[in-house]
Amino acid sequence: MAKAQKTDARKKTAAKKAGKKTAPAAKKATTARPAGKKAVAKKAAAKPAGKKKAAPAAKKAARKPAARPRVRETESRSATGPMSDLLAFPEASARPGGRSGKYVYCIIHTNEPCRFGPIGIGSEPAEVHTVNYKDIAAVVSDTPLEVYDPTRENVLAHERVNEVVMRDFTVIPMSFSTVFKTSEDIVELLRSAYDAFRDVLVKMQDKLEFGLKVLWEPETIIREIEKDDDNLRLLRQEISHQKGSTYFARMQYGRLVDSLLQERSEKLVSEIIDALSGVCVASRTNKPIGDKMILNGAFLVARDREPDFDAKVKEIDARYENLIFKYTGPWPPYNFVNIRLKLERASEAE
Amino acid sequence: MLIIDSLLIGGIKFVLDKVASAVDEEMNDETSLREELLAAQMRVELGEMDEEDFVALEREILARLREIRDARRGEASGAMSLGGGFEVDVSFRGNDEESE
Repeated sequence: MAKAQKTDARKKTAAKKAGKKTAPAAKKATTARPAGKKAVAKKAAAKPAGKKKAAPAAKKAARKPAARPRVRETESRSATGPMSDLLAFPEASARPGGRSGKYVYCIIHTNEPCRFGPIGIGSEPAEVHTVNYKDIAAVVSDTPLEVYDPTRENVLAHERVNEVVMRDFTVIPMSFSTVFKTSEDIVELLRSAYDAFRDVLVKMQDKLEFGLKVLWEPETIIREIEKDDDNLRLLRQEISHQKGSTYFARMQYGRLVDSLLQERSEKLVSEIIDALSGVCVASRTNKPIGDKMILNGAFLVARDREPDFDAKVKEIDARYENLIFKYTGPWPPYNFVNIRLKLERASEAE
Repeated sequence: MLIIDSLLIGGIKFVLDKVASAVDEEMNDETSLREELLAAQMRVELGEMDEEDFVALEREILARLREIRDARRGEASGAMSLGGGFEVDVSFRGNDEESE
């Protein structure tokens, strides 16, 4: 059974639409969502998913990482949802000054001004449009001069815009909550780094980022290791048979377990990255999240190699019984573009 | 929610010259708060934390993040203006070992 699974762009789109439509009735929408369907099928019914719908269920279904579907779900816990008062950012619309800033989503190559519809971040989605300089442009929307909280809703709003733009353009994604005061600032940014933006856009042409997180259950792995490692097994027996204090033995055991886990994790990670290196352009590893994750990887893949990358992930997934793979994408190449902006003078919030 | 980490941690980094040292400590707090948020999201995904607990924790973390930001207001946070001069560096970065 293949545990890894990702949704492709078309499914994503479909899922998104469905997600949006079902937002108000989210409670029962679980099985109706195209992209989430497979992942959710097994356990969705058993889980009173609440307005999050399939999300927890999908997660529980665990080995099926349809992360995009999850994204959809959070998306549908929209501004009208009962949770919105907790999560929305009321200041955004309540602030004086109106929409005087520009929230930047990404940089693209285009000769024409473009509009992407009223899908901007914020409680009242603003029109997403471009600020152009020569043949490159920043995709922006008007916004209050505000720092956006990294709520799921806000992050998804940011991501949704990039998804839409990605359908037609190669993008250099900006990080969440990048806000400039004026269009002039943005033109200035585009102008001064024009060559670099052009260069990176060319390099990113027809490339997509995929995420692969690999997790394990340390308990399971320890048991597995014990089978192979005599020292560990002996120590364990010693602890269980020993009379009196087992403190020292337990310490030793703990240390040995840690180092064996570490060793095993490094070995697995390098095997996985090696296996994928033939089908991707580049890979990067981020800090693992939580104590069960051994790999938090990002892979840059040529569009026409996507099926190969896909197949490889599935193959790897099938090879490692005890690992959980969470496979997501396509994403804009967040992990493969470096933008450093150094302000000479600190700018203020308002 | 697998995206926050890429959005917040990967990609673009803003280096704010003048305030760097003063902000360092808060930045560390901010980073660890964000990591905490990510870890919680991961637990939700793994079915180890339910939605209600997550929402409560998320609210708490966001409030703390906001405090940090408010304390910094007028310095590193908020909308940026390039009027005061700036440097920008944009580059492709490949495999881990090839960069930095």
